[in-house]
Amino acid sequence: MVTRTLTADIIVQALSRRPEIAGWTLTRRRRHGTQLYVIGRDVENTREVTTEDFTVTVFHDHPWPDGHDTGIAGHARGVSSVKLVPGDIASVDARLDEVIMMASLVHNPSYELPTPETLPAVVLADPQITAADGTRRAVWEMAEAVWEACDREASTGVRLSAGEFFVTVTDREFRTSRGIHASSETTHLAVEIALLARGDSDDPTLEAETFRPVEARRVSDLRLASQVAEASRFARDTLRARPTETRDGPVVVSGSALPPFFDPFMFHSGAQAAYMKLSRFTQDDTVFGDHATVGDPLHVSSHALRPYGLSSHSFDGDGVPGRDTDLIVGGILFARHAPSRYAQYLGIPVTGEPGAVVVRAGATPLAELVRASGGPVVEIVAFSSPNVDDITGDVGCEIRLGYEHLPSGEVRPIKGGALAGNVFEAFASARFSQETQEALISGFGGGGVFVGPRGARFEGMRVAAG
Amino acid sequence: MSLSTQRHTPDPRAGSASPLTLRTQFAYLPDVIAELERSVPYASALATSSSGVRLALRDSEQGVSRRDPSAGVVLTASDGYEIEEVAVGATDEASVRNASRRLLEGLRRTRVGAHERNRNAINLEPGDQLSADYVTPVEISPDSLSLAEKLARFEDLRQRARRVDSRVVQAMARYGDAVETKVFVNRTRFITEIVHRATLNVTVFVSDGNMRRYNWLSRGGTGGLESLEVDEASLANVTEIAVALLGAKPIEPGVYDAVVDPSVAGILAHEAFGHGVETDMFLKGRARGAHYIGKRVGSDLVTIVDDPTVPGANGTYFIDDEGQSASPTCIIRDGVLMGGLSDLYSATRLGIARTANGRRESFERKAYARMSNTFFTPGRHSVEEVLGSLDHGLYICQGANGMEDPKGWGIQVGAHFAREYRHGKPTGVLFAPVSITGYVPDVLGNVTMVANDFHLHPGGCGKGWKEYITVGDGGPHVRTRLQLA
Repeated sequence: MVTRTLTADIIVQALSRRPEIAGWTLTRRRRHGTQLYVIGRDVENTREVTTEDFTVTVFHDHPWPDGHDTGIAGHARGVSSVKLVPGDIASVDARLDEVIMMASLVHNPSYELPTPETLPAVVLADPQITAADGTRRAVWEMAEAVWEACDREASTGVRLSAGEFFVTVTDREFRTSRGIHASSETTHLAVEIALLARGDSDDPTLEAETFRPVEARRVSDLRLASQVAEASRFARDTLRARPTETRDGPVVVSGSALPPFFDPFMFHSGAQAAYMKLSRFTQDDTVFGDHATVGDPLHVSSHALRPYGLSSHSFDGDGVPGRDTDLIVGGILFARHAPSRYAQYLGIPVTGEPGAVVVRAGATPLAELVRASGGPVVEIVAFSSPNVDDITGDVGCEIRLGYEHLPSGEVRPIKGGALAGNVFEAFASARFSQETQEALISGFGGGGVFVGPRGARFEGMRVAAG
Repeated sequence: MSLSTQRHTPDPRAGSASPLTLRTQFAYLPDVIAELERSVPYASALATSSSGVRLALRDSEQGVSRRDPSAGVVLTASDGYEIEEVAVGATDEASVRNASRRLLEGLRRTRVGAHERNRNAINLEPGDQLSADYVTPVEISPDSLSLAEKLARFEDLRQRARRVDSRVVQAMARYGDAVETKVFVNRTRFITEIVHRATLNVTVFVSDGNMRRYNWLSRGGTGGLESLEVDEASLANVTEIAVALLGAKPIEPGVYDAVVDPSVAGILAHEAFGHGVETDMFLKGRARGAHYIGKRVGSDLVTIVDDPTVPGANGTYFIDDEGQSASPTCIIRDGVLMGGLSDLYSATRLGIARTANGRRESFERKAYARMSNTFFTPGRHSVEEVLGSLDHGLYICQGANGMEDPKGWGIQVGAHFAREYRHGKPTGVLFAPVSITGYVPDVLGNVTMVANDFHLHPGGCGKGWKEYITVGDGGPHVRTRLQLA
């Protein structure tokens, strides 16, 4: 007996039999991975995951409903998507019937799919992981690295509470009705570790924890030994931290606490935000509104071509080639990151979806930014959660760990309380460190993947007591 | 048939699911489990699927799509020391039997080192015999409206919110419905569950030419369209508050007498003693609450419950993802910490009672101890009495987000705005945004009044920075004293 399975070719053939659609895109995504969960040195769970799916997006052109603007194209474009899995082989036509019907019911200004272009080569997969059994080897390699690093911290009273190790290989094929046929292979590693620090007391309620999530495309990029060493130091410092006091003085935000502060700048630089009338930025105008720029000039770019970058891509979801784009130059909106659809709506150049957020570093050493003169300087290295509002730019984040740099040179850890302010005001007078960092988390709280200064000093934000 | 009147076709993966079809489709699973248990002491299978429709409506743009359908099976096996799982994005017998073979191979490979790594054996219990089928009651089925009718209904809602004020620059409506199926099988259990779900969110953005503010309204949970009713006053209120927020002031950091609305109270309960009593965190030494069972952690007025059986709530289910029948758990009673929320692994390791809180983001992820619907229980005062008691304080509204700190007992809750109250009356002054921080026992210990109202809100919950699941949280209006910034 021959068992047929769903393939991209079968879907493309089915789509080609549908003259009523104006265009389509098809993405086949096949993923396999290994997950390892440990509690201390004990293994709780080892998992293997395999999935395959096909996302079909269809476009349907039809007259605008009565009373609606006819638009430049004279017709509306409906778009709808459906996801198929290999078991859907017998229902491909029924699924297409449905998605075409759905697309026929919605009305959008017309836009065209991109035409094929030469795609840049962007390396996004580690061959050691894509090799046979590579995902299983990699999770154990990561776990061993964390266990060894934690062993080195044992003498300081710090131990591993728990760790989670994920390795996923994704193979993606992308095709469109305009003739784009591209593929990519990516590897993705995610590690979460929780470290516990115990002081002189045996009381477990007096322990302190540091939680650290990191992501990369290669094991070596995770720098697990240094991640553990820094997390260990944070846990020990949390143990002896004193409560934060209310202050109006300068604040330095550094390390992984900083990248989310750039999220509102990325949001308001986007063509979609402009089309939705949500962007407060205007082309060739300052991004700080009425606030005079007295700090380091703000330069923000999007880089999609960094090898092994978490946000890098050879082509985006429409098939637009990945590229690097300057967005904010010297505090002025220079260009918008613009996927094909919104670029056409606004009549601006297509840049494709954004890649890593790249911010130009400053000229001042971080040690200088945190140096206290008249009063203490508060440096915040970890928030409980990066609560930065993309729309308003408002910040309200609980301080998980920070340091008070005193004029005497003493540095005291602090915890609790909150940092409050607004990034559009604060960045007008911000100064950036000359040291740089590459953030290792792309998801929640990572601000996209960030490459930029290790720290920024703000004069207009407020630290509130805990 | 005209397209505009066509009902959307039920998705064969889930939309037309019934207990009988699920039992027929997965009739092979008991045999797979029996075969696995010839090699290991415990095995189980969980088959899940979800499907539905999603609408996204805003100015000059409309989107409609199938919700990301997922369908897959995860096989779980324990060799008596640790757990191994294989998850496949397929539900046919051949794929699952192949996964079963891979699971045994994996166990053989890891078993070599298992006894050295894990000092303690673990004996996972399958539970009492149970064969049951559960389906969410639905009053108004989403299928009773055609897709065109849904588009028209929610576009009209969006337009009505938009028309309230000329300063509105954008209004969005997002609607979703879903059918989620679950089949759990181990050597004593074959259980099916079909959960229907409908959600609605309306968000309005306003501008004074420079500043942008927004506000939103959310409805929905498990069940049908009956949970999505929005009256005209509520819709207008969304826009009016967004406009009022254009004049809101930043709050002066400090400690305030405050009344929190049910949405904020829910996030407080969720972050303070929801995450804080997930017993996998006990096992990892990451929860201070493990050492406070039976001890006072709040005022006498504080009772917090996690209950997956609340009809219609967003975090409602019949069985958890490890086959445990749903039932409520009292976390804090009259200010005293009673116990935690457990999954199978942590309950077995800790030797504590199982609660129905072993939940997965999807078949692709492992089960953890997770919340369902977490809330303060109502008290005896009217809302008017509670608000009227604020001589000089704040009424904190529209909970937006939160973050847990089970080890340090810190808390972060973001609220969208607060109304100033003097002598029991609102002054008209708004503050936005508002961040609640502080030490959890202080927040709960300072509770002095609890109202007799009760509202649950739909929400999503992550564990750490991932593992998103649907939950509900809420309760009554609660008066306490809070550190705000």
